Amino acid sequence: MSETSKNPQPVGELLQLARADRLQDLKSPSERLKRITSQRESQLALPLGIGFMASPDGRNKLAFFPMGGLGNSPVVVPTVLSYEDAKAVLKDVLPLPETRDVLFRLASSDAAGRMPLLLGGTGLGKTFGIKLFHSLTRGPDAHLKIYYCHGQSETGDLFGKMRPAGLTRDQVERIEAFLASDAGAALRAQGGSATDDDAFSRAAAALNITVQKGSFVWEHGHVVKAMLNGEMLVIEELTMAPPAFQNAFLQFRGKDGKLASDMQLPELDGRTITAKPGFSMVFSANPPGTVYRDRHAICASLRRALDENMLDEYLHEDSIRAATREMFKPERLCGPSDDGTVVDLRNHPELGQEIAEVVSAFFLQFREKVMVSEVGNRQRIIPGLDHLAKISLLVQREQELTADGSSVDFVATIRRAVQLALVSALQDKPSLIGSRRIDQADKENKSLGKALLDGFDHLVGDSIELTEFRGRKLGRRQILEALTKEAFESFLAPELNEQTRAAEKAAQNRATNRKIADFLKKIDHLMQGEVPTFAEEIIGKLDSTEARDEVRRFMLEQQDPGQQS
Amino acid sequence: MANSDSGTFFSDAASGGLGKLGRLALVVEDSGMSMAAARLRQLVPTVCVSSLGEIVEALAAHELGSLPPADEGQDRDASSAGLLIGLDISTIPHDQVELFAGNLLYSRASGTVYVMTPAQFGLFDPGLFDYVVR
Repeated sequence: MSETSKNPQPVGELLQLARADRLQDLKSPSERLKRITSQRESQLALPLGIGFMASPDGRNKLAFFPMGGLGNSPVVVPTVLSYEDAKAVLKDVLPLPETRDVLFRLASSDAAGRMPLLLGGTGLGKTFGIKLFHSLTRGPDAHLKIYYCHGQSETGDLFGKMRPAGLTRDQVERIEAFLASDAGAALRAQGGSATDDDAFSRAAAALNITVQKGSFVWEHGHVVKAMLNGEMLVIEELTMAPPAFQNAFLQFRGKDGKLASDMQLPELDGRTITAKPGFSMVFSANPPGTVYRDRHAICASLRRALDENMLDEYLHEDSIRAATREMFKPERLCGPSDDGTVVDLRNHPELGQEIAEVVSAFFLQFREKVMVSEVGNRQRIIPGLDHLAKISLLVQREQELTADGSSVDFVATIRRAVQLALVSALQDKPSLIGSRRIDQADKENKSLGKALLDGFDHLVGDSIELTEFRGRKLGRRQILEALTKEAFESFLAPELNEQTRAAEKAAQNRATNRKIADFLKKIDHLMQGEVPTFAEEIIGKLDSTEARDEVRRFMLEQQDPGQQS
Repeated sequence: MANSDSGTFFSDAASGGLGKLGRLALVVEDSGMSMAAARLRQLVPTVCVSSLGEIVEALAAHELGSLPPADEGQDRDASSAGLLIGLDISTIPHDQVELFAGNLLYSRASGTVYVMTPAQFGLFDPGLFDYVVR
């Protein structure tokens, strides 16, 4: 509690949690505020618009707030986590609005007992959001099965099928994992029209596992296993699966559109499988359309059975910028490498942030050209956060020196990182003899890669927009060079560097204290003197005398002149 | 891309420094003459395969931990941990590579570095590879 009370946000969330706790029946503002105040020890704020509600009986809940500010009601779902555990789960999560949006949508369906379908572009964070929601509600160690649909998905994968007898569960899992890997691709390519059972037997043989011929046992499919264990099952890439496979999920449409709690297995003499509490299914897919070709449409009946959530196609530009800035923050950067890192960016946050600006600007250029240009349309590279993470790793660990070897050339370093992580993966050089079509594609794609790198050179050049940097208008290259020079100088004058950091820290603290004071004034005004000690209580929880004094001083400064008189 | 780039990259990859590893492509004109391919063989157990059946055998041997370690300088612990395997597919006929590339769309990447020619690389969906080193 002491940690959150330093920040004004938790109190704002408390006001919202009141709605989640159905306090609307309390008509008087003072009654409601007193109730909220009395509950605040057990209601805490987490990042991503999540409130934690502790209950004395141990049945904790999470309140997920939608995008759009304080006026909207949250959705409350139970969690097995404590506040500290929930905080640990969210510790390394980038606070992107898309993630918050996915969490809220999943929570809404979960609370209503329905099956959500997330439709959106690759790299948007659908799978990440699902895994995060699962960890937040069921704990990070809870089992989560993710089934990836493909063109050859069959209902036996879901409900079960006969398998050769005499195999342990571990052996079956090893064979299935082997089949799902690149080895399975080679097996299927080798076998031509080989059946699924053939591939299974051949995979078993490759792994030296003996399969008894002519003897079979029933093996439950993923849905049945999830039902029997009360677990969440994630069906990914639903639109990749053929319609017959998709329609198998229709039987899970229960009463009032909720997820059915039982099903019949015709393959097992019509036996009824009843789900344990906790069973749920979540679907995700890329929407069929111009960008995602080779996808099957979802039939209208199944769409009615699901909570359909149409998300964006790509991460918003602001999210890309914010995510890149986060990745280049000292606490998120990876450690240096012995032979590739000269300037450890963790010690030079300003330089890291300037690099982040260049990387995100190029990333957005790349995404636009690859996704919308006529040539780029043939590319299936969907640039996402993984690519940004790779770039941050490369910039930190593989730095290029200047021509004279006296410093680091960060422009060249970034250029090489984006080339390695993004541009090199473009389809080019497909010089198949005799194929004029591919030769043509080769030329076009080469020009795409070249155009992208030319765009990078333009981006860091001095001919485009200049940025205000310490009172001067400079190009990005000049700013990077100036900050690199400072990084080298800081090795020579560590105590000066320490002073600068202390001054920056003091300025940050001052800004935070001013925000707290401003916030408490608003709360004071809202309470109209009903709880006169409220602001003082919050101030009392601040961690230092200086901070407490400063907030009080700021509050006095903000007094309305009329009130003061 | 300079060979030194790929050298550093594979060192990181072999030690797990790159975190989540998927599928990597090393695109070279002649794998026998390539410095990058030679560096890969030093760092990662690399098998030359000439047919799809040999890909299955190599991956099964890797899975079973019976693959011999890399040429030299390879930390045996790193190779036995099953982090990476190199597959030199540059001599597999085009028609077989085309079939393989089509089926690879339905597979989960699992720390495999493919050494291939530029012509072969053109047969793959480029989205299949997390890193491409030239």
